[in-house]
Amino acid sequence: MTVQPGAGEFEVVLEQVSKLFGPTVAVDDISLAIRRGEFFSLLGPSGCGKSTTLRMISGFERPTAGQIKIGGQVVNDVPPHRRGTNMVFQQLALFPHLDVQDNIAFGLRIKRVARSEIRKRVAGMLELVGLAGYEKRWIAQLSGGQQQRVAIARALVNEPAVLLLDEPLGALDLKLRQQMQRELKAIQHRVGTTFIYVTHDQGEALAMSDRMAVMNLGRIEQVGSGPDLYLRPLTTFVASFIGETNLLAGRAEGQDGEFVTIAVGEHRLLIRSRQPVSVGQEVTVSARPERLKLSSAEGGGTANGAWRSRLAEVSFLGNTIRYEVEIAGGQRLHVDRLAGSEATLQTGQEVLLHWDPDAAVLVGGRIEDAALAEELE
Amino acid sequence: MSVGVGARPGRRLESKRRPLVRAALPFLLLVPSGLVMLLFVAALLLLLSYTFRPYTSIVIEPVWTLDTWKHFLTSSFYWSIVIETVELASIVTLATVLLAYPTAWVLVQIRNRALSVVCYIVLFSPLLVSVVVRSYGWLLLLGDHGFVNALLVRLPWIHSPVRLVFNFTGVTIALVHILLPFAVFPLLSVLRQLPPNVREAAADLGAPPWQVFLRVSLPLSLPGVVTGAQIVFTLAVSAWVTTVLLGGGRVLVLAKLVYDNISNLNWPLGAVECFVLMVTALIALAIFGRLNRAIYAGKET
Repeated sequence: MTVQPGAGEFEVVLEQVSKLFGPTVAVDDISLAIRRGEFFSLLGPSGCGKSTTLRMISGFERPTAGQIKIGGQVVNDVPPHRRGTNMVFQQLALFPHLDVQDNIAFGLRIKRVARSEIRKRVAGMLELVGLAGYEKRWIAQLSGGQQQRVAIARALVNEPAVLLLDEPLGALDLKLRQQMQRELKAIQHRVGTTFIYVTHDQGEALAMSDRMAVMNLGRIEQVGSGPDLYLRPLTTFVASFIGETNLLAGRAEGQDGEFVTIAVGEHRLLIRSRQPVSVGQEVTVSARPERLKLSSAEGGGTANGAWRSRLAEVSFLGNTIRYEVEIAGGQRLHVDRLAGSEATLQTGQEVLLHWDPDAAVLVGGRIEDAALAEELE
Repeated sequence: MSVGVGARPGRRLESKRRPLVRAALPFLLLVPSGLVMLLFVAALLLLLSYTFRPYTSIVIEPVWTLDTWKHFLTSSFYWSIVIETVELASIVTLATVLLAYPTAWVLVQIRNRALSVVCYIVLFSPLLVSVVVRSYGWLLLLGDHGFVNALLVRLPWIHSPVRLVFNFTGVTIALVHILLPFAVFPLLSVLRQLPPNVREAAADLGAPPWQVFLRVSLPLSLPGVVTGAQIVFTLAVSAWVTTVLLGGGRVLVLAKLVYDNISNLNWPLGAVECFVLMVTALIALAIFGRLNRAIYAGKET
């Protein structure tokens, strides 16, 4: 067995993997390297190919093209029951004819683990997921959160190289979901297993993952940590899917070192850009609502580079105040301020919109490619 | 305010009348079936009274006696018939369920619509053909010079036709054929409703296909097996036409005895046999019911 240099670092590697269902392309030439012991999320709207990707890693789907490696071995032809992966299913798929301990012991019994060893490991798992004392319960007698824990224990007890989770918290209500997110993260920390977590909920992915891949239309848009993706999105889709953003279409007017001047309609703004931009190039600007600043324009004097705009709407959202600012050309931008941090501006008044060079980033792709609001749900 | 007060008595009247109608409606709907049940119970009671009459050829004498019961219960001949009846029904039930399971399994897997329609028609065709026609059909197929024996005698180790009719074998084959759909139906619904992903979950936990079947699919479909077996047993234990036509008088079961005795106008003995048959079926039903409860125990809320 030859081990490539550095290959040991990665538990799961996908190389140019595609999956077609008939003429439909579910996964389109994706490559990924997931580190050992990492909490990795596949994040994207429904139909983006994230579940299909997970099912290819687990062995339930065969890639149409490309290679999947687990622990350095190509597993394309290995059936699910011979893979070192275990899965927590979206519908949980617990065995209704078995009680809690028999559900958890299922995998160990198949592997003919000694009886005393099974008892010990099942007890340890029940302890880990906080279900000690529930050994003899039937699945139908458990609450949704408890069933969730059994599903996790049933998979983890086999000590898989990789634990695959397919939106396992989708059916739970918000409070329980947040609690389970914390517990999952804690469990992952304790057992140190590689977790691959599929979700359409960006908040969930941000809260739990070390790194994540944002998927759209069968492709990977960007891979990175939460802060990476939030602060330095590469595409309009990522910028709009993770958190909230203002997207503006503009044209590069000039570059001075790392600073680029962008024209948005009649306004100008200065952005710090890491990649070179050619003059005259069409660009898209992404600006997070909390990175923009507003001030009253009534004092007169125009601050350097600030945009004179009209405050169209003010909404009180509890911890923040949301301002909708109408810039020249009619586009509305969102600006968020912590509630109570400054004097509240009034609807209809003239305001100045301030940009500092780090308030916005240039992103690839057109504004039309942004994640639609209904896709976020 | 005044409108509200005025409206109140009317509403109260309405609310008083409604529950009466609502309470009576279900019972009204039960009247037709209730009448039929009443007739049935009356007939049963009449039949029960016959079992305590003496047999004096044509007339039912107005005398009470336990002789017929004693005659039946102390005779080894009648007991052997009870045993043969239960044996036939059990073998037919076992064979039917064993055939029905793979049949239902394959039917559920078929994705091609046209093919599945054809399979369903073949499977359920016995129910569309008269029992007499069907039985004579089997006589033709299984007779000494029938199609099956024509094939069998070509085999090197079979020299003369195998006896397949007018015996236990023939009756069993024909009954299994007729009763197969009754076992397939409940299995189909159970197999279709297997919880999603449980088979995948078992495979994911390391179970090869045969273990997935033994540890997950089979136990989860047991309720369908028991229900199917229950229906098949009940029908097989009281089957008459098939038993008589394909048994050729050599296969003696309770249903045939009942018919023979009643045609001989021995109503008391026929009635006793009826009740023995009914009790046998009820005992079987109770056993199957117990099995089903054991399977379901605690697993559903």
